[in-house]
Amino acid sequence: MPVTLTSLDNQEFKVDKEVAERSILIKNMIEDVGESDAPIPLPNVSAAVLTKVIEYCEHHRNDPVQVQDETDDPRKRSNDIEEWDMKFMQVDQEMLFEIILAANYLDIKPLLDVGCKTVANIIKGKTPEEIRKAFNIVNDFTPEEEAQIKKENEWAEDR
Amino acid sequence: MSSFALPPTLATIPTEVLETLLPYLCQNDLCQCVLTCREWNRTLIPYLWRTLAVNSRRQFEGLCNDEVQQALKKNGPFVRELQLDHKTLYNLLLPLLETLFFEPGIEEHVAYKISPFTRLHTLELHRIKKYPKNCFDGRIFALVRQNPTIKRFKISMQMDPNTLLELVKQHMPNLEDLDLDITWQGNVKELLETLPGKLRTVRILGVQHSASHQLAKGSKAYYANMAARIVRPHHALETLDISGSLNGQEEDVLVRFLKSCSSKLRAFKGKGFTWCCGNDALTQALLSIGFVFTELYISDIPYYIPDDDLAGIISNRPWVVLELNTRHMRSMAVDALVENCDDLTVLSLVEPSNYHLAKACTLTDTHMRIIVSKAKNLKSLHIQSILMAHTIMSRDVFMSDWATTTLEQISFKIEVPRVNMDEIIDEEDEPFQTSRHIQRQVFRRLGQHKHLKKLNIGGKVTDPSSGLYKIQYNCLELTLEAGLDELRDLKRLEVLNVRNMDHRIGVPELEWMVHNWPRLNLVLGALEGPDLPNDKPVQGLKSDDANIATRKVRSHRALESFVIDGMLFEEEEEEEKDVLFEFLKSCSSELHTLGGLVPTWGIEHVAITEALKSIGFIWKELRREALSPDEPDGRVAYFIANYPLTLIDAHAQNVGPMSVGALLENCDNLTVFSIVGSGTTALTGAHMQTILSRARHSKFCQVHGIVDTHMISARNILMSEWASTTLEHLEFKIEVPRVHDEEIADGEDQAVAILNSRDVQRKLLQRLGQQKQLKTLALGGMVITPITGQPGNQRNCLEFSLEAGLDELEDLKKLELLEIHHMDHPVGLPELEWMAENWPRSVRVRR
Repeated sequence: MPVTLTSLDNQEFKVDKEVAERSILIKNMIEDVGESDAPIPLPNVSAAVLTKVIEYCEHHRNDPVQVQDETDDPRKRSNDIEEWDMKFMQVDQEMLFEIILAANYLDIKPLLDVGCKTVANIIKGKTPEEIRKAFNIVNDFTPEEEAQIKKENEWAEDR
Repeated sequence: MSSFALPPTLATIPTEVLETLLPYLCQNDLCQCVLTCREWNRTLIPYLWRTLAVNSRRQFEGLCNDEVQQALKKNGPFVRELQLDHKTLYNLLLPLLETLFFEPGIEEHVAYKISPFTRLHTLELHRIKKYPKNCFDGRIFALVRQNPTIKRFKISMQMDPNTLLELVKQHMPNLEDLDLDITWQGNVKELLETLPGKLRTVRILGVQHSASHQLAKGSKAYYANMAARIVRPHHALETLDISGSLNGQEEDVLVRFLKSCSSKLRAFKGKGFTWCCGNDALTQALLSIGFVFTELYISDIPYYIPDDDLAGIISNRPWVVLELNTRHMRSMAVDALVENCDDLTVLSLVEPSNYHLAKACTLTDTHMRIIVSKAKNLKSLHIQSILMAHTIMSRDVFMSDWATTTLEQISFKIEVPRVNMDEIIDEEDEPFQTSRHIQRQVFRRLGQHKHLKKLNIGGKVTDPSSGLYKIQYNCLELTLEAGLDELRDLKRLEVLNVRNMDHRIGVPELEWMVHNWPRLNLVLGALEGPDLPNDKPVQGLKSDDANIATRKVRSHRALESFVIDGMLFEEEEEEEKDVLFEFLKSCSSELHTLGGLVPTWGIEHVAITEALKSIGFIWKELRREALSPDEPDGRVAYFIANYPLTLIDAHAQNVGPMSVGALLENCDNLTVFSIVGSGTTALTGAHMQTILSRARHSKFCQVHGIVDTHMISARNILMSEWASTTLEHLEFKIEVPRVHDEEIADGEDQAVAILNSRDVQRKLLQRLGQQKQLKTLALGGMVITPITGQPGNQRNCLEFSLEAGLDELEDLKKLELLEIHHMDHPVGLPELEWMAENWPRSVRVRR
């Protein structure tokens, strides 16, 4: 049975229930409301972002439910993104963060993880200048401030 | 997220999203991020300072710098986790004692300064070298008092037991995890009964309860003590792990404490079962809080336990974890196991070293079938052997319905009917079809366990007639045709062991594995199958085209060395492969060195290999230059498995799981083995031991990175003899159990530990001393500290003092270089004099 989702800009999306329920938020809403034809409003997600999110959920509709990794290691690896996901995440940065926020709001843990891994991979191994370039950041430090911060935090580098 | 709002960035995303993102970044990345702009700086500084732990001299010196000390005041409140493991750090970071008011002869008032740390969640106090006993106790006390927030406390430094007791008892109201990594010398009873009430996990490395801690019953002091001490409730306690000895006082020490726990208590490890089993008072106490032992380990079971006793133990409790000795699996125990396996999460049957004892085992496939059809929560299934054939028959076990699909570890041998390849006349043959059908069923069954991390179906089996070990012939073929692709959903698979199996894994399978199993980090035995595609037909070389006809290839029979770099092959143009073919054929067996990129091409192109074969050239060397940093593991492994290499010199990251597997099988003739760089490698200390014990002619052995701790443990080295006594260059890090100086004064245990450590060290040095050709011995360098994952000095390393056995190295008359920097060794003047006296070549010592 299809479910109707309404985006922030009032566009309607018809998707299979199974696909929509990749979102724990929507799953819970459907469970609370019971069978109903009424569209589900998603006032935090724009149509453009919702299109992407649905694309993801369609592709992963049959994935098994993710279980929490009980590894003790606080550091997680970000180099195990599947090929399809990697291509899916090749979007501009604004969209990347929008997808992450939407995944967080809609409670789609695997998508949130893939998004975060993607951002982490952009940052990894880069110098501050390269990071600024990658994220379009303007350096608003004076050279003195930058030197000071460097001195204060350099010890934390584990090289 | 209205369309007018600014687009989201890293600095504006909600905290919970940031918390998801940050674990993917390392400390270095964070350091760069805080330098980008004010907004990011503000957001990320608290995370950068969350953990304050020092892992290298560089970090250590950085932290001692004045500017950082200033920053510490500002950023101290962000620190959640503090690890102290050096005298200077203790001095620097613990609150200072300060004279507030002092008028000689009239009044003196001292107090501890306010610490910048006020919101610690984790405090770890590690052992430090020589320091006056208990000299930091007061300052530690002051730090803890300022941090009632502490949830996790670990200590491996000796403190005065009474001070420590007071600290834990009174000043850690929020403590959830206590790890006393010391031998507790004080009164165990008092410690346990007054532990804070929020504790969920308690671990005590060792207790040493003596009668002197016990006040005589009936004495005044006894009643006073009892009255004064109320047993605190410990309703949150889930795990208790205590080892050591209570000297027969189990009942007195434990009863009141156990009664103060609640039904939350799930595990009582260490000596728990041994203490409580058969003691009525303790059994009653456990019963009163609803605790039952659910985990049983081999160490809990007497070696000569009668069958009915074990059967009784198995059927009397709802076991969740069962680790049993195969020799104990006699008929009554097996029946009890089958009857009571419903709730098991871990079932592990470990084989005794003696095969004839294993024969006592009566567990069969039929039992296994019942077990897998009943145990619905099973996560780990480890069966070292099943009677006689030592395999599990596929038909019985795999065709039945399994109760679970959540296995994370599988470790047993599977038997399937196999048709030998040369016997196959027709693929429509019935036995062949049946075999393939069964294999696919087995694969499908295994493929359902999507949480599988470790799949271990390799290993030799016992031949029922002779009792000898032999490789598995009736086993899974592990090819894509036979159904390997059914395992495509095992996305968490990390380890695959298919050693000693007659399987037919080829390059397509290896590539498939790497492609489909993103977490794979070790494959054992993948390249030992008999049917490697050694002799693929050479394609595209028969073209006797006009070009070749018109141009005569000169002969190059004198050429010995050929090194060439650059681009040669375009993927689109098949003919490009011919470039070297005719040339190489024109050379002779004089050719012995190929360099530059030729080996890479050789790996990639059958044509080149063919040409080299025709002139009698055999690859003997695999050099770093020939390998790109991201060379596929399967390809390197293939190279190692198929050529009689004497030299392997590779980047750490080139040595992946399959290469290690190949290496272990083909290391006999290595003279040079060198793994350099700090990349992640699948090679471990255990692998090194195998290599050293097999490489008869090795002269040069150098390993920079070993996974995990980046060290090779002494145990590995001593486990087997080294095959070679001709080593000239030895470079890797060795881990030995060490007792550090500050512990020496503490009782007999430590004295024994020192003796043990010294014993291991001497054996190790003896081993090294046998290598009389040794010119370079380099054991120094930083290692990864296991707790933090960051580089630091070697703590558990050889001492290099005369007492610890330095004199065993007397015969190293050719030694020229000894590298022992970044190691915790007490090399002093006597040692240096000894070296000068005994080593005739002027040895350079890098300390």
